[in-house]
Amino acid sequence: MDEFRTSVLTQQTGFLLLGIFGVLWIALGIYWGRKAKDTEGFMLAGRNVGLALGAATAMATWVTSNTIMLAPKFALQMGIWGMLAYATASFGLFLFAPMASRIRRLLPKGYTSGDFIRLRYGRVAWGLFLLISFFYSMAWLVSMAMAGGILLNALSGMRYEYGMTVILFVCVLYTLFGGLYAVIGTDFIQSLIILAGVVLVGVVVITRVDLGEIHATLAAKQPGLIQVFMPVALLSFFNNMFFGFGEIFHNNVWWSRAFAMREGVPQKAFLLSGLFWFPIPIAAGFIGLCAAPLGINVPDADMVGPLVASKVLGTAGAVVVFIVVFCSLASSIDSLLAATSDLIAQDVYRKMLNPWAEEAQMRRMATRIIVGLGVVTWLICLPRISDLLSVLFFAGPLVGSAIWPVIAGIYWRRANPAGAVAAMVLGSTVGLIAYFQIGWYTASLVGATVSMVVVGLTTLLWPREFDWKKLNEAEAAS
Amino acid sequence: MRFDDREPVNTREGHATLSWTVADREDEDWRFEIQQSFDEGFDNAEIRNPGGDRAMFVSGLPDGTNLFRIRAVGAGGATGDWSEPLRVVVDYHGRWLVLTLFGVGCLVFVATVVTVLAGHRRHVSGKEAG
Repeated sequence: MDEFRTSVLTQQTGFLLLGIFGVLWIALGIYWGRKAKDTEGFMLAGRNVGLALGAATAMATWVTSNTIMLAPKFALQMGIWGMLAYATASFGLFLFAPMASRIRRLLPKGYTSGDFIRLRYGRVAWGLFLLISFFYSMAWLVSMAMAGGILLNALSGMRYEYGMTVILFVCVLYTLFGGLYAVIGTDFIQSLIILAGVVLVGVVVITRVDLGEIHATLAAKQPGLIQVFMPVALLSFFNNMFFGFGEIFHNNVWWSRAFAMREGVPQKAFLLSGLFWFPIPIAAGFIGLCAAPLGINVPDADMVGPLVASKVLGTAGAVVVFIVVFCSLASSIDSLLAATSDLIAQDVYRKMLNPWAEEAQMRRMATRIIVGLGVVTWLICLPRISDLLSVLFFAGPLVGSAIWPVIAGIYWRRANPAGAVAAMVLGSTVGLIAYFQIGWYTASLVGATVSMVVVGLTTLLWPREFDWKKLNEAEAAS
Repeated sequence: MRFDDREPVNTREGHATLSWTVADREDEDWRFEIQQSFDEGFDNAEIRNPGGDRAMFVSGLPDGTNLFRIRAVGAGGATGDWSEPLRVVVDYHGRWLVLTLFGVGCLVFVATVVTVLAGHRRHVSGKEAG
């Protein structure tokens, strides 16, 4: 059913914008791809990324289409608390900052987060960790590709299938050509565009509405959104925070950046990126709260952000929103494609199947995996199975359960490998039970809590001494 | 003129998506008017205007049974009959569950931050060498 009879842009404009940015990004991918001479260049940009690019890529990657579309949805569903809940995802970047410098010291020649888990806890934990990571990466990819299709449908009336397909296709292509060099290079440009666009939309929206009027309208029509005790919002506050912790602490998207940055850079880069990221969901969430006060009907909560921005700013605003969301989509999809293909190529192909794989084979395998991930994502997205939140937050208990095995593995010499496995299994299981029995907005919190208790108890009761030097695989092999 | 949902909509989160269908002359340029109330007589009803859209997301609803009804408005301003009311029943999670999980969240958050910062201090000081 076509619920939208009020798109601001024409389909032709939508296709034109997609075409321009698609060609531009692919060209940039080809240009930067020339720097990648070997596997390390393709996967880790030569381990030489500086502070400006490091901070920009971390910020841009974390500004996903979910930030632009889910933050307003959170605010629309859960009010002020919902907006703040979404912003707590920046805390993951803040906490990963010191962890990143530790990771660089422990694994100077590391490639993936899987490397760490394998060396620290052994193969059982490694296999389980890879399953969790792969599941989450696919959930993230799917949610973003869906968001792209939904956005273009809302803004221009373009069919969901077409928009989703084109965005995925463009991201796969330029990641294929350029690897992490292209990912980081385009991230820098995208981070500037995103910041400028969000500030612009936020400033214009706030000049069109009166804060008193917003409060009065919300009090009359949506009183729950401004209540201090808004149950679902309070439940989701820490849940969203731990979901963010789990996403960042475990996923190779962030570990690969830590490995790609120059010595001494990761801590500052992640701190800066968190600072720049924090106000973005607050600005985006505020836009969601303005829908009712501005008299804008929202047929689908997934689309409240782009809908309000385009209605307030007209055609020009719709173009700005399109560009900002394209950049946020591209900056995250490319990172996921690159990091997930690294994880599969290094951890599965090289470490499990073909330990003697040469450079050329690794490069070919990485590119095949990128294409494969794109195709699988496209097939899952095509039927538009569910709304964005439930797709993404289903992975919440799984990544929440990985928080404490990672932290304890990095800092506690006596963390127990069996405890790490038990933490991920029990945390995921109990978290999923909470997901179905109470709601998605409790699952990550429950998963992280169970994981913390299991890791803490097993370390206390059955400590296992570990030699940190084993993490330096190159040194251990020599 | 009717909502697509016939049965009451139950929600623990205080939000729902209302969608509707025009029984005949579907392709005409209809606009719609929705009333929201707590009582069957729709006294002191809150008016909502979804324009020409065929769905509306409502959120921040108060606890209890919220009633919605809809009618079509033609191009010339002529209005159709009100639909049968749709019940959206909001039953928020209990206070104890909310406060307990919020408290647990605080504890786990503090434990996580302390562990990372304490570990970082030992790392920087060289006491937990890598």
